[in-house]
Amino acid sequence: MDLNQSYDAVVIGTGMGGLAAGCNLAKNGINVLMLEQHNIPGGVTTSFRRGRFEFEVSVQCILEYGSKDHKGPICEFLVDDLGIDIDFPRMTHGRMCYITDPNEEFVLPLDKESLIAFIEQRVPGSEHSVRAYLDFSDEQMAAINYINEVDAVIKPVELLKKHKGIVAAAGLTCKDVTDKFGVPQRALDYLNVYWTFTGLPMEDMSYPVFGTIHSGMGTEPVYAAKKTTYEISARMAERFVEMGGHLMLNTRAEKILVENGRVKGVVTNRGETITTKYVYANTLPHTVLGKMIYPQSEVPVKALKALNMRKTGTSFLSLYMGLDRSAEELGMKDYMYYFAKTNDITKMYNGIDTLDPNDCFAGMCPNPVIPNASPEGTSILHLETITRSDAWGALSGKEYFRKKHEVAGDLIDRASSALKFDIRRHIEEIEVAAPQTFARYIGSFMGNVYGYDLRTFDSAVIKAMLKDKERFIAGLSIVGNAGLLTAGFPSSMLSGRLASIEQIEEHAAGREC
Amino acid sequence: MSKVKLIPGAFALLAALKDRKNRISSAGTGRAPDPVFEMAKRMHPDRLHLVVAGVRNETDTVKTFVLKAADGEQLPVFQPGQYISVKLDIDGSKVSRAYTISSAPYEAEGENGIYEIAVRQKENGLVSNAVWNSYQAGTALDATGPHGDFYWNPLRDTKQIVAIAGGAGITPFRSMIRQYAKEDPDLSVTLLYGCKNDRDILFGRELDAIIQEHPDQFKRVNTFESCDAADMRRGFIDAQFILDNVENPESKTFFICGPAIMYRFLRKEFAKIGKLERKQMRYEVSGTPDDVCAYADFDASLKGKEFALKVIMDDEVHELTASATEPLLVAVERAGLILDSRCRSGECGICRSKLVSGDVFVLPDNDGRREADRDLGYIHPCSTYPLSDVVMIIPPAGAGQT
Repeated sequence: MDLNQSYDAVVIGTGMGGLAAGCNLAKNGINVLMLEQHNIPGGVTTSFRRGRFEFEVSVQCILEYGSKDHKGPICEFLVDDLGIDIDFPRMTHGRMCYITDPNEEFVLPLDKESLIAFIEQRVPGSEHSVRAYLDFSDEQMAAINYINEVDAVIKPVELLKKHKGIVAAAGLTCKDVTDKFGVPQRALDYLNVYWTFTGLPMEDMSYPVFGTIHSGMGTEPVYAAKKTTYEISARMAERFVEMGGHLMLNTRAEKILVENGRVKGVVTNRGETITTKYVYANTLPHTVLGKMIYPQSEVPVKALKALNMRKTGTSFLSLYMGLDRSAEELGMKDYMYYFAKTNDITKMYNGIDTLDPNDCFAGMCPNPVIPNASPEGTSILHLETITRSDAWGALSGKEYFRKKHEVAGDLIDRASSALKFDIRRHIEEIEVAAPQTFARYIGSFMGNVYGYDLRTFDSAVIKAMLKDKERFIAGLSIVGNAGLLTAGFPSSMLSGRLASIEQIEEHAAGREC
Repeated sequence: MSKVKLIPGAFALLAALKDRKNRISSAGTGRAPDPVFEMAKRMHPDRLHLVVAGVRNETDTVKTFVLKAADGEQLPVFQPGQYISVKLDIDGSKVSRAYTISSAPYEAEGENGIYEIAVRQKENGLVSNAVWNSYQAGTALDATGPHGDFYWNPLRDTKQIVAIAGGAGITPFRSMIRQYAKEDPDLSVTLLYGCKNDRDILFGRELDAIIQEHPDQFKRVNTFESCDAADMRRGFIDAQFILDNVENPESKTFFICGPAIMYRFLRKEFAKIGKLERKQMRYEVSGTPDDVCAYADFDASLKGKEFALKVIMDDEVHELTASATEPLLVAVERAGLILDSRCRSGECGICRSKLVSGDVFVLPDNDGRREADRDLGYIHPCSTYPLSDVVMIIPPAGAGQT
């Protein structure tokens, strides 16, 4: 094939944002080339094999899928638009939490009513404020779904008319909102264990997205991926090719060619030049603007400033273990876990800048929901803690191996004492991923996984409002975790779909291509 | 209880917008460095450009090739037991072979760092003969960076290691012993080593020198297929031999490297010892088997049969012939097409390709495919054999990520 040719659109990276953009474009008759540096699609929505185990890499549960009667945006896109219907088992049990100080063990219920009752029982008199807060969170979800559906730049007036709640909350932090509702601190200690989903303390975290997490976990059904989320990536890539898209694996986009402020092509690691006017980069803007735009003089100063105002987001120290006993034998009854030394999120957050073991971490054991997630008589346990990459970048190669196993060892020992069995005795396979690992596989800036911190000045609503004004290079869209809808599996996917709509409309109107 | 009201909320939104504006105008215009990505690339480069710095004869059939970075760069760090995949062009066939790094990680450090690989010359061995004949001081070659999962893990394995080696399978243990002697006094290795005869022992003298210096840390015991001397043990590495030389095997981790036939034998012997958990036995992948017909599930009557193989690469169709007893990867390589591969044992998945049509036999030992890939008809051609005419789509060569 002569690669020195032209495409209507080029998608760089096949994470959820890239796959969604590529699929939506191909479905609408646009001639798309999708480039992936790895030999499989998916980015971190993937799995890997060690011995007789297959490990989910990053996505713990599937939100915003809805149900057959009440479809969520993910279901509408995957099933209705793309025809990809995967059987996701529904979760019925909530997150198992182990807090050291005060010493407490509980399963935080998934269902909203049970959650309210659960907190009321422990914090008498909290029901009214907790319910009002969760109702308000449902409004955020409805508004975010609306932003997804309107497929265009958000006009504040429109949003005001239909979804007052999100406008009222768009500039607020989580703490602002719960203070307004008067939710007691002891109740927040329960509600906020989901903070690891976004990785910011409540006084800094932009509220609307955190609200959608509460709504997504409590009001909407939550699902697990039976064959890991790699099945989603693999099936989207297959569908993309069936719809006429061109997928090039093993191919890294090195340069995005820009002329007079407009995208004009892409250069690959093999030196091929592809002509295109539209690029969808499933890559952090730090990589796109800092390394890929060619010539670099085409990067506007304002774009660099917009980049540098942000603190680069978070990565993970993630360990994947194949255990040589069943979950039942080991006493693991739950799918999602949370382990924390205290309820002081700010203090725990401040610890993520260092290489010292974190005060809190998350866990996942798929077997109780997906019995054959691993061979009979075995189970999988995944522990994961948020970390900032800077300290990791200062290590030498030798120190790196030692350090990541040291931090992982600490998580294992703490999980062992909470779960009441000696995990080390049962580790048949183990892999520890650190920021370097993510940088290696997805090429992300500083090995970041979560994109950028969701502070109020960088919230989804503000980004939606400024979408056109802050598109610094014509024809270039950023999708994925740094896309419009911020980080996370559903947001990443929807960001790709959303970003592709403008070109699809132009294509339909016959203006371009 | 109050609630979130629109007017103050709108003011907060305006304040956030203003905050954003201020932050943008006061932000710098520099490009932030990315030490994490740089380090990841150093550890896992797209390609290593190496040059042969020297050749040593080890036995009649094994030579050690000393490799260093061609460009004076530092070699990537690795774990003792990992391998590099060497790329060769043999009369137009683009092939790769995985060779364990037999030297120690400390020897790879610094500007004059080296990797060593030990290559046994096999009768009719396409690659080993090419390496023997063409590699000499100054020869340039390309390889992947270090890979593989056959290494000691501090969270999973015990500090007392029992290394079981068959023939050239001693290479990872040479790396371990050299490294641990220098930098890891906590790790001990008891090496049980099976050879054809005493002339077949690899690295005997140098390992003995290390053992003499660290008698509490290392031990080597040999057993031979055939030998004359009365004081030498004859026979396979079996349960008795293990029990004679390893105290409390239930508290040790066994690393095992050798031919597949040795693994099949050892699995039965370990069962005899009892009290051992599966996690204690770690087997290195062993590459393409010498004879796929030895597998019970393989229909041996297919021996000598050839099938049509249609390979689609970059939308171009290549009509090839594939032998029933050779992995599909070999047929692709023989045609001069490049299909990136690394472990050649089914495990790593670098050669992942789409089977469009045809029946195939997948080696059961290391079927490293993801479940969704199995559902969607993907195969790892390095460990997949044709049982009929086959059509498959292979990815473009020159992986952008290794």
